[in-house]
Amino acid sequence: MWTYEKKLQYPVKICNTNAALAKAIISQFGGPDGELAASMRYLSQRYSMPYNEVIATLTDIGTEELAHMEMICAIVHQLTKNLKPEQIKAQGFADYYVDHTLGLWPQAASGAPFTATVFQSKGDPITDLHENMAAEQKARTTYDNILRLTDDPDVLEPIRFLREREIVHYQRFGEALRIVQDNMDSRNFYAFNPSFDVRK
Amino acid sequence: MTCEYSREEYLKRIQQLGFMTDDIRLFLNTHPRCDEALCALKRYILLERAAKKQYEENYGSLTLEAVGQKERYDWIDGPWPWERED
Repeated sequence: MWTYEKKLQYPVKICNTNAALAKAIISQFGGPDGELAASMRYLSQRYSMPYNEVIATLTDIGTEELAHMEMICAIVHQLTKNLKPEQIKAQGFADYYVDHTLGLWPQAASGAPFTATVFQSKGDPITDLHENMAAEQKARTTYDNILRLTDDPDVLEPIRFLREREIVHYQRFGEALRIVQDNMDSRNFYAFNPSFDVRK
Repeated sequence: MTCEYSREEYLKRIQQLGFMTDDIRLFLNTHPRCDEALCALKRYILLERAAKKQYEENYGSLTLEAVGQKERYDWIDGPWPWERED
């Protein structure tokens, strides 16, 4: 189970609205390499993971991603707060606004809705951990792309924090992969799936 | 106990200490026998707990634990974490 703490992991305080930027950043809420997909990926993978260190890693990173999702939503919310219809039109936000007003809905920057098809839970520890390392790099690239779209320090600061976390998580998943490999046949890591095949 | 810091400053302190426990715990998951990290985790858990307690006595409850210590049910009080205070 989970409990909620009434705070963000890192402060978000944005003074100037910018709906066009919000529309790009919302991809890290419901997009292909976003925080919601990251959290669901890691939390789903736990059940077939045979090693305790890795289960703990998936649990804690999967939980931290929910906190990141909340930060992204806070950024989008503050970037679009109290927008007037004229601003909505001028900043290219009308197509989002017509369906969601100023509410938060998990979608990619393209408008494509959140979908579980962007991630895998394959039931094979080596496969899943490679998926996760790739996911952290894809999210890092997305944050790099966002950082090039703005010079607003209020947005740059929390986005830089989130980018840094992708790098730390990549490192931890790399260590988790090493732990899995240490538990396997060193002559052939892929000889069997430790979460499915029972070793004789 | 009165608070010499603003709500925002106090919250930032909790966020810093909370970050330390989050990050050290991730490290310990893959280095469970690192005594130095375990020692640091224990230290930061205590510091975070103390900072939260002081914040929650002066401002709103962050957790159910704190709600239980209050005379009035303050869980419904804003500002919520995503709200910017103007």
